[in-house]
Amino acid sequence: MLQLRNLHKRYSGIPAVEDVSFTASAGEITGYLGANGSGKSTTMKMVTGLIEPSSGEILFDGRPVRGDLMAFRQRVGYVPEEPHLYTHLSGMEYLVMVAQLRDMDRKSASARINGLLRFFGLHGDRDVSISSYSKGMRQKVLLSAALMHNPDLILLDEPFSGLDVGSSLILRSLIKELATRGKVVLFSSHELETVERICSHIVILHRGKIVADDSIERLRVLMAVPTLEEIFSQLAVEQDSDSISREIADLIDA
Amino acid sequence: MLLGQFATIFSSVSLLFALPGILFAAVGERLTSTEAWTAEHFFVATTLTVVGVITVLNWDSVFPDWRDVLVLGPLPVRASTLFLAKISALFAAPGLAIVGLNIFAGFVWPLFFASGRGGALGLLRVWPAYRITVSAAGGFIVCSVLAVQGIAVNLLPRQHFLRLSAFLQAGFFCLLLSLYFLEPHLESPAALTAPGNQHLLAWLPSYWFLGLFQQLNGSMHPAFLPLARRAWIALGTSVFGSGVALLFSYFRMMPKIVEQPDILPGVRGISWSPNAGDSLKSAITLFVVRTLLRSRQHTAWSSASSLASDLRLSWVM
Repeated sequence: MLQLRNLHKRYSGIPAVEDVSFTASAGEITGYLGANGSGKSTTMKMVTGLIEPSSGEILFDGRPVRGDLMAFRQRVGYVPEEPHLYTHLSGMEYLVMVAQLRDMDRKSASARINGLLRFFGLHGDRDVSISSYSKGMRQKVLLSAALMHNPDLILLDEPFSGLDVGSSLILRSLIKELATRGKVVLFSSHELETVERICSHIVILHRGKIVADDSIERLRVLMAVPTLEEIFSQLAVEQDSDSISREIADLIDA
Repeated sequence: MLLGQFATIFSSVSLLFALPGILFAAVGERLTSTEAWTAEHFFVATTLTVVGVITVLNWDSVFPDWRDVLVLGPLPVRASTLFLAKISALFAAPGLAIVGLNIFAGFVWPLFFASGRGGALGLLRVWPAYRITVSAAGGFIVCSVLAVQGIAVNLLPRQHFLRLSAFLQAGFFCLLLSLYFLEPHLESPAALTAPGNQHLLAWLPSYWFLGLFQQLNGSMHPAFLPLARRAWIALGTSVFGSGVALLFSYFRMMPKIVEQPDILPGVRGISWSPNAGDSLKSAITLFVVRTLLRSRQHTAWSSASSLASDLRLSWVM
């Protein structure tokens, strides 16, 4: 179980994340939603230990993650929002490097890497430099790197970005399967339809603060709207999208 | 493979440098002290320059960047491990250059540099003296570049450092090549002891390490003593300075890199719209000017080109 308690993060006094508290349990998929700049990625980075919170604490299985960050990171698989990779390495070389840094057994690492590359359709391009990979291919490399060591906590920041339909379907099923096997899955996405299909629990962030933390079903009932899109629009979208789109069309038409 | 290619290139150059020495040895030639000092100075200066250029070309590899932090940060890798790995990688190419450049030349030419005592003892002393000197010279220049970078990184906000970095890199590049091609030849007792040259010698690292070699080799002309002392001080200062600056930089920089916002407030510069005839020419002119001013690679290349032109001009004159 992942617990965030009263998490705050300020940059030069400006709050990026304010009093965020929620729990992501094993066996359930928690969707973490919010507009750009709402603090989702900042929260993810605090959970991975990349950023230190200004205050508050993060617990995994009851233990503070910053108590033994190295041990915690052994149990975490993280897919960041931007596919930062060493592009001079091939896909295989990158994954082998990650396996070695995770101190994985050579034989099992090799079997898992080859398997993951095959399932993600990258096996034929495994020896090609990552600089030649498309965005979707890089995303698959990141997913493979995040999953190969069988993590207990899986953090996915926009995991569907750049993936083709086939791969998106695989990933969707994979996330469900991982949750079924007792993993804690926290993922953020802008694809509300996907979130609606697979998440049992969602947390919506708006301007750094939590505005919803419940199951989708309960939120539908509470807010009397049928879809997650409408829930999200009411809670986290400030713009009138129809009005803005009319103004844009008028501007380019002028 | 790349390291192998590097090693091959440097070894080939070393063999080329060694050939005249082999010919001299074959015909039984001996060098006067001035000729020996000139040759010694050449190898020290070449090592300094080549190692310095390699270090400057690796300028961006010194500190972890955004990609390093995001790729390696979430992994169970300690910041100290990352630091040591980066430092090791940083010294690998210059180290290879020092070894490669001197692998053949550093065997043949010291035979002519052996101290006045001569015999087996002189030879036993000259080879390690030579290797220590070129290693010290290489280490000095690497640490000096790192120290300057480390100081800049610690004193300046990150965005300002990134902007200044291109100019520092180009400046070092120009300085190294200018010194190599334009520094005066002072490898004679008269030149080394002339009062008018003392101020100049105090600013030329290749002569400091020439003095260091003379000290280690036991062939000490009095004019080299202050130069040797300067070499030791410079080496110690650069190693200490780079170590402190790097340690500070790493443990302050890494959190800063992760915590910096995705978009920093931009500074609106002078609004300039050149009129170069038509809108296409104006757009190209503006693009070229902005690229030259802002692109790090273009700044480095244009500095190198200007330097090459200046050097050509000075040779002609």
